[in-house]
Amino acid sequence: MPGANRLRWLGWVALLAVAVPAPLVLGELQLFTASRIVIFGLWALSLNLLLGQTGLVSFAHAAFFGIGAYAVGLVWLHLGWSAVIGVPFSLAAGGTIAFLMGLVALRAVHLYFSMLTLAISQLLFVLAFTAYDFTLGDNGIHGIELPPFLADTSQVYWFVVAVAGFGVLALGIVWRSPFGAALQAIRDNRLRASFIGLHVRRYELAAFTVAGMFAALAGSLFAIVNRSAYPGLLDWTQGAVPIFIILLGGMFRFYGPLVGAIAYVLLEEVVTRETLYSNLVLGAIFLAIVLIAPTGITGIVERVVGRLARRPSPGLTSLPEPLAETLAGEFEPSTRDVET
Amino acid sequence: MSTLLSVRGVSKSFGGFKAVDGVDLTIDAGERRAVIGPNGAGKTTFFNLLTGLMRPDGGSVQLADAELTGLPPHRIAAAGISRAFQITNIFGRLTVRQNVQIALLAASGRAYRPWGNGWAEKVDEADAILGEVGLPYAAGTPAAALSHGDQRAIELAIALAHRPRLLVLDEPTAGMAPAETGRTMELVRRLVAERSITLLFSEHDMDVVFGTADRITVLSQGRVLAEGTPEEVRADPSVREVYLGTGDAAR
Repeated sequence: MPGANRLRWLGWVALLAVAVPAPLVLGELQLFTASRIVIFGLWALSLNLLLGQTGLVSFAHAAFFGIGAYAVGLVWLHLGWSAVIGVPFSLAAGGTIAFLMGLVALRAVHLYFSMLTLAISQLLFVLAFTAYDFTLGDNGIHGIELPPFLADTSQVYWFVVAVAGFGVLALGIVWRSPFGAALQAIRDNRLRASFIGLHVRRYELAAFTVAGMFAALAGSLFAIVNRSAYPGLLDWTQGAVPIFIILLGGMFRFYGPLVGAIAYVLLEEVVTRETLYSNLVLGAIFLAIVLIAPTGITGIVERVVGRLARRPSPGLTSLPEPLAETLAGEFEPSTRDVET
Repeated sequence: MSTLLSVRGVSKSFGGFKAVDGVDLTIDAGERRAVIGPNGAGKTTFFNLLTGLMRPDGGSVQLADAELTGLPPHRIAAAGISRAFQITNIFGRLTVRQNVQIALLAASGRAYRPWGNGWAEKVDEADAILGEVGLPYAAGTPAAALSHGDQRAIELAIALAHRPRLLVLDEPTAGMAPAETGRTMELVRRLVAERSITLLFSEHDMDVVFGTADRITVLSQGRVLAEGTPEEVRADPSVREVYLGTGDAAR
């Protein structure tokens, strides 16, 4: 549908038009919020390569975010290099560790895979926590110094937008590629995917590695903005944040998690400012989304737009509504699964 | 005619139960072979062993000169065996066209590329196959939204996308209305003839079996009970006893 395509391009242009000149308008604190949106957006996008596109539920995504933050912190702390070197380095570190973790975790399927990612990521958390000589232990690394070209908040923000923009572009290319199409087939039916000749585990390993790379990239930006890296970032409970963002935005569109990140960060700000029990409120919202609108904000918008246009929109999310809801509710496409 | 598939003494046990117990099977290129037998005779397990879903405990499987014993499904698919399933097994959230596109991409061996526009590839080829199985009108619809019969047609389209040498169909007409059954089998016969594909199928409906198969293999309790042309099998007293005698032949 060319109309939808044009609308999508318009959306991306609008996003850039808002994101790039933001420092000219926003105050320091608001700019910090905007950075959070961009970083969480990239983090959630990288996870959605697994969750929405491949159908893999990983609990290790906080670990990769933390690894990225530590890549920045450790490069600065031990090598005395500019912290900025840690940003490209985070891609390599996240990718390498994700590849190794995937080799082990992907020997299992479904829930067992998820449990393995949880176990290994907690191992990394404990490592960051206890390896005092290397990571400064539970104190974390604070006061990371930034190079002169990142002297003020606007410059840091633009740096974040530029690097995250590269990450979003890269993930977008992967999403729409033949490789991405194969991942969608694996998500829908792992068994059948192997019977059409796809080496399912190899594809899953590649997706897991790429997701780990870009989660680490997001984490490295977090360390640049906050000028610190600490063990709590790797704790698996932190992994709930990108999952929440993905569900909020919708997992079956590439841009869903970005929409989710905007909604999540703004929501979080309002809720923590206005209420005492912010987690309680966020939890209730989470529950409502899962029960009422499992396709998230993008799903709701598409449904409304589709109804206005009086024609069903094609593509992944355009199932008849009841069907979309049932399917979104169950994540295992096939119980007759095979070790591949 | 030359031998395409050669199975020697294949076995599979679950616990103490011998589901498939030393089955030999030889299929010539271009042949249409039916495997029949009462429920629990081991038909589906036998197909699972052939296509890599299960690893045989013993015996060997060869396609032409390629040794396939114990290979995983994606390797067996690459060697030229395509399978459609008894329980419909498609990519539900993908559109009908995408179901065939991804099968074509996988068959081309170039689905790994992380660049380019995946769903813009193989469109014409996919539509051609959809036309052949009679589904062109539904190309943009999510596969899960189609009727059972149409989903079986997608199943067939996915299996064909591979340009298989051997097509394995496990009860292709299971759960179909009689009219649908006739249409589906006519389609299968036409497609395997046009593309000179060798066909191996299991089926409960005896009209379908006798109307399609060149030769029939009868399984009972995991063993080959009889094998021959439809006439020979129909006349075999042991077959009549364990299977046809129960009145199924009249169905």
